[in-house]
Amino acid sequence: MSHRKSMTGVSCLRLLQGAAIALFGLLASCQRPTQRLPPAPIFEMREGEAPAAVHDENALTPLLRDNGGTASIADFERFAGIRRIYFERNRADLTDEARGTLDRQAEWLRQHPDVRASLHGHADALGTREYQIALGEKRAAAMKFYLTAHGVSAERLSITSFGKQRPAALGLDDASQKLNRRGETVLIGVPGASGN
Amino acid sequence: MTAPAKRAIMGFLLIGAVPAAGQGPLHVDITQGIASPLLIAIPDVASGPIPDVAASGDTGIALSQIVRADLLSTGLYRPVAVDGRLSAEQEVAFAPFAKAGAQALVVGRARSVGSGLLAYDCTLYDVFGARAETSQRIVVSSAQWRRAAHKCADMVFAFTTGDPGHFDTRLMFVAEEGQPPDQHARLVSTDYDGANATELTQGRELVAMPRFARNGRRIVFLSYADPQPKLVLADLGSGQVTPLTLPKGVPSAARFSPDGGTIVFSLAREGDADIYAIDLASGSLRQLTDTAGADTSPSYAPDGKSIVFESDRSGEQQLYVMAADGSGQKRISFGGGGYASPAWSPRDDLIAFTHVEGGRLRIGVMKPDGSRQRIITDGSHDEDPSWAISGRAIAFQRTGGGASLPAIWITDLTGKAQHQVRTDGPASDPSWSGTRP
Repeated sequence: MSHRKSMTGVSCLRLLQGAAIALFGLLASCQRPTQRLPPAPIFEMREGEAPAAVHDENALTPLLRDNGGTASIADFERFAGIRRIYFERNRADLTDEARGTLDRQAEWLRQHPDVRASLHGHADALGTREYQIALGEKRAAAMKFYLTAHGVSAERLSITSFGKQRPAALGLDDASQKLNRRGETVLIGVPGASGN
Repeated sequence: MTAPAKRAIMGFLLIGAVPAAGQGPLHVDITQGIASPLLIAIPDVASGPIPDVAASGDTGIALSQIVRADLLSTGLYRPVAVDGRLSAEQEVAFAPFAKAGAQALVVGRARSVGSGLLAYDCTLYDVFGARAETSQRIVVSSAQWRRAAHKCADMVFAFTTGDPGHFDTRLMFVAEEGQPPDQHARLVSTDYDGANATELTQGRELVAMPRFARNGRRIVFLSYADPQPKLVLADLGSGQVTPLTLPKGVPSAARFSPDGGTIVFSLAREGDADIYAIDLASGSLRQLTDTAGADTSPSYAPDGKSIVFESDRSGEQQLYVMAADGSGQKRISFGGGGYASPAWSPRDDLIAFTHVEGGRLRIGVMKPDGSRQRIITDGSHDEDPSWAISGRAIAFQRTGGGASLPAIWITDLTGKAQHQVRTDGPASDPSWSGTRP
């Protein structure tokens, strides 16, 4: 525990970035040529360059109501950068950006084998209600599949779906609905963790 | 005692006996959802104030107004106005109504019958025949005075259309408040017109997809008391709440069978959603679909022998019909765009659905074989159709453009008679009950 706490955000991030770049290279070769990169990436990573800093505002302002700044949640968020990933409309496959985030989450979860996580799939308000529950579950299942393929045991991961029942943003405009097509990794049994 | 009054049956809450369908002059002819409206006069009938009735002013006039609003909301009647009002004791003079062109005349006479009870004598007259066609004495507790008017409108509707009226019914919906991430959702039920709201849950947990059993006494809904949602069965009489014991996965889209003994729902597991049925008495579970993709939104035919559902097995959301045991799955929707959230009409003649096209959601109806599809709403975001017990109206959720606050609307089957249900704040995902006990 004390070891974990001593890993400040900066040192943690450096360690991770090496691994992330290696993985990114691997994943890039699997990438379908037609797939567009999603706009506003959370991390900017270019091979051969020094990794850029986290510049997603959500990473700086944790989305969890982090009462009292408990170390483990803060640690997870610093390490993984963000606990949310985003999906394309009506899709459950992972974008490159989402894979990058999940790589870091998997790394952190491998280092903390005592922590379990609930994977929450959400969907936008543009689809029909009952279908969006199934879509959210499919998204959470894709997250689970990816994390288990990257060394996190399946027993530690549960999946659930909120469909469009718990939006991150209410407007029917595109910008709001982009925020709703999301998957969230919620730590279980960690001080400061709260469900959503 | 008048002859019609003698024919009426007395009871405590309401008086039963749905009259036989009229085949005489007072029949509303409805073909493919297009009706020739019946010309109807529903004059104010004064009674004076009645004790314990929470209406301001004259109780009889307030009741007349409710009967009028009920019947005119259907698009099946055209109002004929006649000057002046009647009083409860007055004999009906047909001449002014005949002169104004009314074919039908509805007169409701209200009076107190003591100890907190209200009696409402509701009579439907054939104006040209100058005679009473049908009549009921409706007795309700004064606190439930509005139900007397709804029962009266139900009687007129049933006599003139041959279908049960949908006015003495309840609507249940999800009331959402607050902004993310501090949104609260409560289950609320109201009369079909938004009056007499009751909070069924208090907003401590996220709730979704409430559905009535046909008798209106039991409900099922999705509850997120913890992140793993559960289907919860509740008895509105006893208040007893029972979570259903289901296999691992995310359940949703629950609906009762017409006899109330089975709940059919979708269960999503590892990225695949299939339809299951659970027998409520035994708890035994049966998987009805097993194709890859999202199978959801099952809805029983009124005879309980068939189920319509949606599936994206073809690549986009389309409607399928199967036998109640899952056999004989057959696609029925073939138009452009996607088809979702089907609901089988209690009249068995139509299936309502949400049409998905270009980011736009609208309500439509088709025959159970998929033919004669019609889109009947014109909003940008109309979804979640739920049938009235009459099979002559559909409640749905409409979300406007910018403001984006959902509301419950009711439409007739032509789409010409639409109105918003007055609710206290945003409301979504309606379920419309059958006839109240």
